[in-house]
Amino acid sequence: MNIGSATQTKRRKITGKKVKIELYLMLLPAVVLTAIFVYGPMGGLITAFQDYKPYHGIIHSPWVGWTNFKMLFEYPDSVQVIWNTFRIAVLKLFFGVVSSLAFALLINEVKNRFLQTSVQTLVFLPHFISWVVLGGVFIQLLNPEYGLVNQLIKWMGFEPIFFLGDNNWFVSTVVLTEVWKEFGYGSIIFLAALAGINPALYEAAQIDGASKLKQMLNITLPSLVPTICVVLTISLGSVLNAGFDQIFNLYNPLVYESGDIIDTYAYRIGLIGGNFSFGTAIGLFKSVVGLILIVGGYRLAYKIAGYKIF
Amino acid sequence: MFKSLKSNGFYLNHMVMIILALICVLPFIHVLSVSLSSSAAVSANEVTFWPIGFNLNAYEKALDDTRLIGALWISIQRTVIALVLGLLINSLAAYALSKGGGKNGVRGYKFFVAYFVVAMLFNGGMIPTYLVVTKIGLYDSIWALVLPTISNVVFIVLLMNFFKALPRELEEAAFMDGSGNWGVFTKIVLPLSLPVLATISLFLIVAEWNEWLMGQIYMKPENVPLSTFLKSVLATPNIDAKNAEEASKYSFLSLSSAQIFIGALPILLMYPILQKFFTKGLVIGAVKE
Repeated sequence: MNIGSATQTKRRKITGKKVKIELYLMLLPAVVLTAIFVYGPMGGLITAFQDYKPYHGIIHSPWVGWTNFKMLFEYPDSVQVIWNTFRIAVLKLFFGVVSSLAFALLINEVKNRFLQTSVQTLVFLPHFISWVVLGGVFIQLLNPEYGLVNQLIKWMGFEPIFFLGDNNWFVSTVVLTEVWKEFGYGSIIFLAALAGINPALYEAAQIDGASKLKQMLNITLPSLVPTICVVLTISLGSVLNAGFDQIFNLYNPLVYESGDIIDTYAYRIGLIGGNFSFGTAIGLFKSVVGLILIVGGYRLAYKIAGYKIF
Repeated sequence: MFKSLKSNGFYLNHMVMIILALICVLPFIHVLSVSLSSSAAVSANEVTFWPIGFNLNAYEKALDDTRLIGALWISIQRTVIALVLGLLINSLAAYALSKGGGKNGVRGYKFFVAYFVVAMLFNGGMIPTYLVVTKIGLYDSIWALVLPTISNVVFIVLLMNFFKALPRELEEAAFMDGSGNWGVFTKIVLPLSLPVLATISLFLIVAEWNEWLMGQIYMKPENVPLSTFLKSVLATPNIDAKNAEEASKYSFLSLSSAQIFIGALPILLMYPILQKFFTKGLVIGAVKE
């Protein structure tokens, strides 16, 4: 080490203090906002163990222990809601992954660049449109009297179906419209994985006389297994996330029985009904289950595929 | 025989792809057509994917509503504020964290990472957040729409990974010349990070434009953003406009179609840029080698 670099380290040490303060100042806004709007409400979670009344405030509201949670598992309504949430979320997860994967495999076989990019451009579109707008679109399209879909059904000689007002149809409609919105966008991660497969494998298979189908079964699918595992395990965290935005924009009292989910229920009971403590309790239940599954899912993804965010 | 089967499969695949693409856009084309069609054609259920009796009456009526214009203005304000603040706050934090926990980094680096990761994985939920936002006096303020979600861990991670991948030499040269972290951040890191900043801007714009629940619970009905306004008018169709004279000009279905389309228009206009950057962003964030 020569003298010149020694003085440089010295200079850097002197500026070091100032440099560090700058770094903390840079972190400050994000840290403060997170403290107020994420950690602050976590403190508010104690209202789940109270009978919270806004005019008493958190400090003076009476404690009720686990009562709110007991109600959660005793009310027929809330048990139904938890089951609905689980059912809708799992169906969405399963069909979401299957449809994205199938689409990725098929579009990957289209060798015409123009067709490929045009199709992709169009199928990504619904992802960017909000459920408020899509709710409007689907309510109109699926209307039993004038909706285009039902006109088609009538034209084919069947009875019109009240997709958004019939408990036998609502869940399928929710799952199908979600798949419609997200299959294109969800395929991006599989397409990225497909692009990473070594072309030499296909060349070797062709020389050995393997058909397209054989190549797909023996090269493409096995190469995608790690990605599929990562997507599935990470989505584990959302098995109680049935999609507030979507349900709230599509449902109505006729389909509460099959379509009411934890978030919509917490919104109606808690915010609209003013039963803050019960609403908080049901939200907390959902968050805790979600957290356990997310952490478990990441661990699993790391074990299976070495996937890490940090 | 085998060969013809293969080429049949080839065309079948093309057909399936085209049909899927159509399924994704036809609903929008139908709504657009209804919004542009004459009242008579709409009432007779004649409109499919092309306007019949083309006119703009429904749009005139929709834009004549001062509530819609007010809501549009709130949405624009909210989006601009969130865009500026979101880029600034998240990239500042990401820059600090990109320095790691070493000699020139942040002491307590691990604590800060844990702090943000926990914030990403767990939160108080809708009702406690509502109580906090109203307690600190943000009710019916534009800041209630922006501040609660502005510090975003996913963006911080995305930016941090991008900053970490920038060539070290440039930064080191600037430090040698006596620049502080602020100088390096504004003069070197930000200009080199335009692609990731563009991606995040688009994420922010779409999220802010589409978000409606915060508008519904934090704002008075006369100050809601466009998405929330649309939600309320679509939920309770404006049948009040159904007197004979008006109904002959447009049907209420055309009006709600026009409102739907106005709500989606900014996103549709941005879509060509969006699609390119979102694809990139998702791949930066999701697939790490």
